[in-house]
Amino acid sequence: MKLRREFSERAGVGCERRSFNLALADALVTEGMLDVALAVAAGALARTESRGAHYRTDYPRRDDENWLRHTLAFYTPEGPRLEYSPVTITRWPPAERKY
Amino acid sequence: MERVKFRVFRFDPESDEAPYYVEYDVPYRPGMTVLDGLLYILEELDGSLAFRYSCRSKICGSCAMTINGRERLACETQVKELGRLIRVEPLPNLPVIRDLVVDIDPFLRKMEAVMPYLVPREEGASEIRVSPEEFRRYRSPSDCIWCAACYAACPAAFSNPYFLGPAALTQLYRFYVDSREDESVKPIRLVIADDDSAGVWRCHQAYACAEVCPKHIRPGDLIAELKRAIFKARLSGRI
Repeated sequence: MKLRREFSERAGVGCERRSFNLALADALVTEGMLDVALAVAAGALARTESRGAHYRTDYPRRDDENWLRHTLAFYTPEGPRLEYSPVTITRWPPAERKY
Repeated sequence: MERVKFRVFRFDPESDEAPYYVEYDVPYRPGMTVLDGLLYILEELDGSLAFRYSCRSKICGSCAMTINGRERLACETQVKELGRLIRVEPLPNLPVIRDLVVDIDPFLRKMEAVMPYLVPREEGASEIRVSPEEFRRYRSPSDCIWCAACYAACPAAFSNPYFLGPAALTQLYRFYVDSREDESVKPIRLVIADDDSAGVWRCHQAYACAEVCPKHIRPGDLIAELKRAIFKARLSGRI
């Protein structure tokens, strides 16, 4: 969040051209990536389990009872706000993958 | 090879009276492409450089430019095969928007003019089977990624602004020989190809198109095929 604020307040673009300003395009992409990174990090921090590629040494087990649900992250200027929605289960009931 | 020099064409029609060249010193690393070099310049040396790119892997056709005098994709051209001095310029025969970026609208208008899409023979049919033999007829031309390298290299397109050029005629051929297309559309395609100032007869078979095509398509061969088809259609009274 600090990095995101720093970026908003202090990042500049060295090119002032009006057409094909790749430096400006990169800055906008970086800004978007910071927002997405914050949403991913906040969701991962709240999700106190391990599931697929989301692996936490402090919560190494999958927890369907509490976490079989989607994380929805909403942008706010103070940082991402998290909500959750239920998983619709149709043909394949979810189960732990073992290889 | 430790470092290479990129000699880059620069021009901003908004502020520059004439184009000029800027030399950039770029550290070489194994596997480096010309596009990698341009991205290094953009990120480390000069954020004002303009060029067009997207996929970095010869799929999208965005980064066609003139590299050491030849129309090529920056993303597939290895720095290693070019030596220590690399001259990078925009594609010829298209107006420069800025630096290495050209306005591809004139090219796209010609692509659109040949109806670059399938008009299927059975209306509403969800699936029309194609045999491997049928597909072989347009396997190569269907690889075209619309990069405009052939159009920029073509001497006939350069000297005649009406000429559709190798890429558009490749598209035309590609659908003309497609077995799924409605037979009633074939003569229309031939009539477009037969146009006196825009069509196949303006091709002088210089084969610059085949020389530069990153997908190894041979538009000159396809144009010759179209000439033959037009001739036959005329003799038999189909067009």
